Amino acid sequence: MKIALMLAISQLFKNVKINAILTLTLFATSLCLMIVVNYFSDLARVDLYVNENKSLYDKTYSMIRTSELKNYNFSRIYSREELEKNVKMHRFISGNFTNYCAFRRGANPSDLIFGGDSVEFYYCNESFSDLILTGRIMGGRSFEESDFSASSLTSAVAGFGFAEKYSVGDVVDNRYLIVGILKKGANYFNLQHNYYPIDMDNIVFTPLIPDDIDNVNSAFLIDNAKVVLESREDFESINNYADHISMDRFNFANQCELLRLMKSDDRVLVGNEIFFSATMLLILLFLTFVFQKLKFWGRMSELKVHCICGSSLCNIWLAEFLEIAIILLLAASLVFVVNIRFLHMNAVAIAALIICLITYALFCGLMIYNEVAEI
Amino acid sequence: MSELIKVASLTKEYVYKGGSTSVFNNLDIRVGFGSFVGVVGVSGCGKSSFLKILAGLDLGFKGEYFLNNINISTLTNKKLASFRNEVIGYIPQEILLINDMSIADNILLPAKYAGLKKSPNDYLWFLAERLGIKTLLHKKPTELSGGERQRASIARALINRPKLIVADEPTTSVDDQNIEIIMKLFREICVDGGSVITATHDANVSSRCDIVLDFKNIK
Ligand SMILES: Nc1ncnc2c1ncn2[C@@H]1O[C@H](COP(=O)(O)OP(=O)(O)OP(=O)(O)O)[C@@H](O)[C@H]1O
Ligand SMILES: [Mg+2]
Repeated sequence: MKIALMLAISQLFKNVKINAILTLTLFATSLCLMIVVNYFSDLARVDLYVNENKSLYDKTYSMIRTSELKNYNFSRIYSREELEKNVKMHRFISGNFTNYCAFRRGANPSDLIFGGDSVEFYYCNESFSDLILTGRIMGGRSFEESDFSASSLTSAVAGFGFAEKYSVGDVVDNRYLIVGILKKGANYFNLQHNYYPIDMDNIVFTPLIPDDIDNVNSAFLIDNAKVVLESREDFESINNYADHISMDRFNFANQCELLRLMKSDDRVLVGNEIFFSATMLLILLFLTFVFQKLKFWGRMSELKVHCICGSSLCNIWLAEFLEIAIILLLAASLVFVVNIRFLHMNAVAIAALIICLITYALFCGLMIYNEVAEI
Repeated sequence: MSELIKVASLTKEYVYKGGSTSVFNNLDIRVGFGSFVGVVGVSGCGKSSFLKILAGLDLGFKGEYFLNNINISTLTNKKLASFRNEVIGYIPQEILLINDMSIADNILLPAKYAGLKKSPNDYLWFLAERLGIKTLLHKKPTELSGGERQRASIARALINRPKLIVADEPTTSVDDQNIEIIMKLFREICVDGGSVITATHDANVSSRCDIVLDFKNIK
């Protein structure tokens, strides 16, 4: 074993270039495959989620300003006047319909500290608490009416990630009172601009207090509104109010419809992605095949020497395979680093990666086995 | 005289896609301890094939091969490897040395595989001295002449003091003076109770052997 490892490492360095190319190709291929798998499993999740909540989502609409129909701009800056209109509109829709909305608190960083850690805070209104949070509570409760009036302590519902550190009833930073903890892995879909699930594990929800509303970034009030509307008259009454306060009129995007549109928008992209991954896979297998043969021819006489001097075939097999194993390990670590830093893929994608690597290892193992039999 | 090698109805056939070459059929050969055996015959008659089997590098044969009363075919992969390491010293026809190791390391490789705590430097020096490669030990194989490399290959086969030396034309690129030296070394091994089997085209070598197997007759 020790000899095999030494042999493997010396071989690895003798073919640095080839091995580097193989590692990078393997890395790129696994990443592509993971992205595809990640996409499909996210899609399956959102489909399942929407179907489970179909009665609600069928009647839920996002509001899109007619001026922004073509090109939505995430970082649009609103004038003071427009911001005031947003607040008015928010009050109108919340007063007349069910409007459940939650959005990331975008305040200055010092406001995002929770027990000494910087965390993600989300504002949510009462309807959101009733419709989304209530079903996901593990301990304690979701928000009640009394939580939505200003007081010295702000009520907070924390994701499962905080369950180890805090429990219901704890006061954090002399400012937040934890009233509830969410279930592990709780998530919801904000079918506005993407359909990735929003993982609630590491989010702290606080109430969007109506009296405080002037202090929040009011652009989010409309962008994240999810309004339950029954009929065309409801659309009209909202737009009439918009006319009344001389605001842009709105288009109403049904959530189920939105999902369908986004899926068909993605079709070409996903098709390309699949094609690209398949090409990468073929290139990888081809390169591996050629390089493995090249490496083997190059070191054939050397391996013969080892055989003559008393190395067993098993040892040589092991050494060859260890070299591949090191390549696999390198590629896998690269994927993991990239994933953790930038991508945050789901468990299904990681399982796909592991299956992909194991299959690759088997492919190489078979090749090496045949080669070593040649000596 | 007890036997080091007993070969019974040994048959070798190379099988490849779309055909096969029969090299030899039903060889029966016995070699005692301390014998110096020559193997001669025209090119392509199967000398190397035979020696590879004797060296435990080719198990694809029919018949039986006992080395030191042990049936080679029954050994596990690992046992066979340690047999090659300890009992057999093989000098291949084409000179195989690892190019990025020094000559000394090349020669000591079998000792490393044997897992010796102390590398047999005294014996290395002795062999290098006898074979006239003492000043070359620190060099890389690519810096040596063909004859020098061949002598290094011989030294490597001898370093673990094996009972059986299997030499495949060990003197092809060696001058007469060195042939003399190598023959003397081989003879000493036989005197010590080891056996040497060498394939050769050189009458100078075959004339010094105790027995000469002529593969032409065998076929
Ligand atoms: N790996 C192989 N596959 C198929 N045939 C082979 C293989 N190795 C050798 N042969 C054939 O077996 C026969 C014997 O070859 P071998 O190398 O044993 O001859 P040799 O007596 O050592 O010749 P030389 O004196 O030239 O070294 C030859 O006809 C050769 O073509
Ligand atoms: Mg030959």
